[in-house]
Amino acid sequence: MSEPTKKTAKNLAFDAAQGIFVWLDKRLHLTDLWEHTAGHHIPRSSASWFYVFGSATLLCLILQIVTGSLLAFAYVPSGAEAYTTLEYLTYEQPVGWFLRAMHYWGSNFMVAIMFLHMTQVFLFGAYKYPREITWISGCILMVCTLGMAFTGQVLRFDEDAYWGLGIGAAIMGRVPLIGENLVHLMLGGPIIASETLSRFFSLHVFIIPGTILALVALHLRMVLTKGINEYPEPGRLVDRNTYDKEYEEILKKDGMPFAPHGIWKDLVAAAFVLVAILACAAIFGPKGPTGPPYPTEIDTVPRPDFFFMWIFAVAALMPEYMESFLLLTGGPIILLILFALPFINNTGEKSWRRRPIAVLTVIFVYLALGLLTYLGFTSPWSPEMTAWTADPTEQSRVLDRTPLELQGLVVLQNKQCRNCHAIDGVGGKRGPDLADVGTRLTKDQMIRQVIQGGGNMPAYGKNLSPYEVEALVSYMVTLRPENQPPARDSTWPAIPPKENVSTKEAGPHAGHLEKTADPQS
Amino acid sequence: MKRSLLFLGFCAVLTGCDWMPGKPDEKVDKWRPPTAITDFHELYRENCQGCHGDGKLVAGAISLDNPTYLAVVPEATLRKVIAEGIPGTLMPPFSQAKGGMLTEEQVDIIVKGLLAWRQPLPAGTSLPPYSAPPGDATRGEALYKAYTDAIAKAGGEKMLGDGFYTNPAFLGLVTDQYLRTLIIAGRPELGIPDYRKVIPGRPLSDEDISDIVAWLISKRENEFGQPLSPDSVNTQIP
Amino acid sequence: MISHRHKEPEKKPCACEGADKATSRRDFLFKMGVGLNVVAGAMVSLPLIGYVMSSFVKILPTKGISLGPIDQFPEGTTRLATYTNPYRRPWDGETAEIPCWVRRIQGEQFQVFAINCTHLGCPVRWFDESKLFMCPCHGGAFYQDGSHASGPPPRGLYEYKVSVVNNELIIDAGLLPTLARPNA
Repeated sequence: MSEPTKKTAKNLAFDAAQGIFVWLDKRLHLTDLWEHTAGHHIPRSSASWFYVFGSATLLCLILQIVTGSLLAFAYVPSGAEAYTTLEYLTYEQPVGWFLRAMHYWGSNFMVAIMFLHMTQVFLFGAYKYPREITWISGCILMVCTLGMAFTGQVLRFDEDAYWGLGIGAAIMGRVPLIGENLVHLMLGGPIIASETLSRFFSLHVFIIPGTILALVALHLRMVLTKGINEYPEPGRLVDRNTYDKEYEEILKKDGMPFAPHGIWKDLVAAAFVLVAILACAAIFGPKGPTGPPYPTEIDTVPRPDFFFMWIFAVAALMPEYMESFLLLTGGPIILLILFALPFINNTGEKSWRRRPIAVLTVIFVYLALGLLTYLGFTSPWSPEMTAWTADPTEQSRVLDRTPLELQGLVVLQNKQCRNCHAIDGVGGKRGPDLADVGTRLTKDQMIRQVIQGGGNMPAYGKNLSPYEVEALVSYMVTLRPENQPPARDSTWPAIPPKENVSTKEAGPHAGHLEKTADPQS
Repeated sequence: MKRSLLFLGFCAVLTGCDWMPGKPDEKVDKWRPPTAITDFHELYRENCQGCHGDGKLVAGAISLDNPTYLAVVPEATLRKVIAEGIPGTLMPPFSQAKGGMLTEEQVDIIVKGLLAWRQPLPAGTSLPPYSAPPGDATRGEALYKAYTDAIAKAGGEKMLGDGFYTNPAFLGLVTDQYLRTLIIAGRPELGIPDYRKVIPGRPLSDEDISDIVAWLISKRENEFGQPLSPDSVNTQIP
Repeated sequence: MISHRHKEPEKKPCACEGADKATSRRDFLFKMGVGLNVVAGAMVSLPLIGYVMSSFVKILPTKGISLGPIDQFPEGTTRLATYTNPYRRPWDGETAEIPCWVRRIQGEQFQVFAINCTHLGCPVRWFDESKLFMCPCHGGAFYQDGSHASGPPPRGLYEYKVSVVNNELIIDAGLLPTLARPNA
């Protein structure tokens, strides 16, 4: 009779567990909840690897909430303390640096995966009837996520954050009529200070996350009520009159519960994303903090985080006449297009195979963003502030020069030409590389360019003495690849006549110009 | 397998992830103000190398590892030049008091670092004084001729164009003292000899140097190509 | 029987009347509830909006601030000076220390420029050798008198109003200069 007793013991435990579950279920309606949410039916075709980005974004959000909450254990959002607490978190608090790294990389992954999700939804036509609200709520979520990215960058209250706020305020200041008021509103006062940080803290920690949670609820609710988009097939068109019935039929004929049969791909992707974030955090660590947010530390080169680098690049490359207009209306216009998309393009083909314009749009947007981001990181338009004292010169550009030419090289360094002009690639990239300037400009053209400026170069006329110009230009004409002739004035014959007489007009420098070894004469 | 993984995880928790490559290193990654840089080489690289070269690379202005220069230049002068620059020339001031970016301590570090490059000169070398008034220009002309001949002989013809040191624009950009320094220290890295190797058999004397400088000064002109009287030229020392 | 009872309300207006009365009473009470909440909500939101928008509405004026005796600025030079934001709050820390560029032309002739580039507010740096201000963000450059030299900035540097009182350099400051309010 030992067997039955054993059985009873096992059964007892089982019965107890079941009893507790039933009791809970009767009160919490767990089974019902499960059936209507995780267990809802999806088209078998939707259990695709392309459909994992949404849940991966949500996973990032949860990770951000957890790590962010923990970071707030130590962080103090005050102008006087924020930087100190960041340093404390990074260098002293045990595992603090790793949490900062996870939060930083989590945000990068969240933004990246969110855009992948959006791209997939766009290419698969999932925004079309009847999922307009899903798309629009997703667009607002995107704005909120980017808002989180920007405010989060401010909370990492270092020099980049400080001057990033300055850039934000400068953009606000371009709004007509109420620009000044908006600057005050954004900064919480007349100038970037503690109140600015506090309101970005509130946005980052309370207001935007709260909005995001509410919108995520709506977003998921829409996924449940209107169903996940079936994997599009070329040629199967969306028709407002028949689509709902068709979708129901798909579910009936070829549906399956999301959990447990469809969810495994999301789970695998989730694990992969988590491991990737951990790996990035472990290998690359947190970002910054860079220098402190003290306005007096002007030895700084402010740069935004990577998700805003393209805007930074656009700000450098726009022609001035359209700059204010685009900075202020660019965002709203993009949003308007995104909001309008499901209404403009409500029915018809879903498959990207039959939507070449959609595919081209995606390629164009990714190429543009990628290129602008690359440009933002290289910033060829920014002067290199220490190039004039720090950048060495290729030896072939120094040896075998006369004292005057060497002095010209010193002028070139001293007058900070090097901050914008590289020689052989070393130096600023704002202006053209001077390594072959001797083949492009004649001596006279150089003098004119240096003195009058032009073509986005300041005029140095007032700030260079005639001797400095003379030395500088004597040096620059020697800058050309070996065996390549110097630039020639088009009025001079290519092969000089034998009794070549300098026909230059007598000017203030005439005496010197003739004495110096002009390659033309 | 499971055990070793568990063990690894346990270790990771115990060490607080500190072994990971991403952990910021307080010594390297923590921000320090630029005024806190105390490494001579870093300071030299950021502030001097562009014009003066780095010992191996040659640049436009005199190399600061030139042994003769380091031997003759007084420490106080070196410090003054770095801190305050040489007004009217291309040497800018570096100390914050004069509008530069370096603290007094950083200037001291650079001076010390440069002087550490000093090398013992051959025994019996008699150094001319760093600075002296200009001498006799007529005598200097002949000496200067010998000087340029020596350069030409050493294969430096290309450097002798533009009138070499007598080019008025060049003269307009340098002080008398810099001319003297150039004659004394030369620029051996470019092929311009120092005062010992100009005339075979004997070094230039203090008087010779002053005379050459006087000849060079007499070639100064104003911007319109008119000769300047020796009194009106830029004679700021150093 | 069932059909009869079903039809009854339609047929007998008196019963309907009673129901209507009850419904209209409940309707009224519901509407009143909503109305009360609209009023209460408005009353709640007014201080909230007032709190948030106070900084939008209230534009603070600049204040006179001394940059110290004028002797510390040699003639013909441009130097960095620092002042404490007049609207400093005790917990602002070093963010309240605001830099600016002081150019002493000669005598009591001064120009004081805001540190912020007129393009997007980055800190411009002065280079005495080329007499240029350069911006590290998008490559804006300005001449020594603050006028635009090159790059994307739409105008010259922002200038503070300057006066010299008792040998002290006084500027009107306190605001972050932007295109909307160029005189900081």
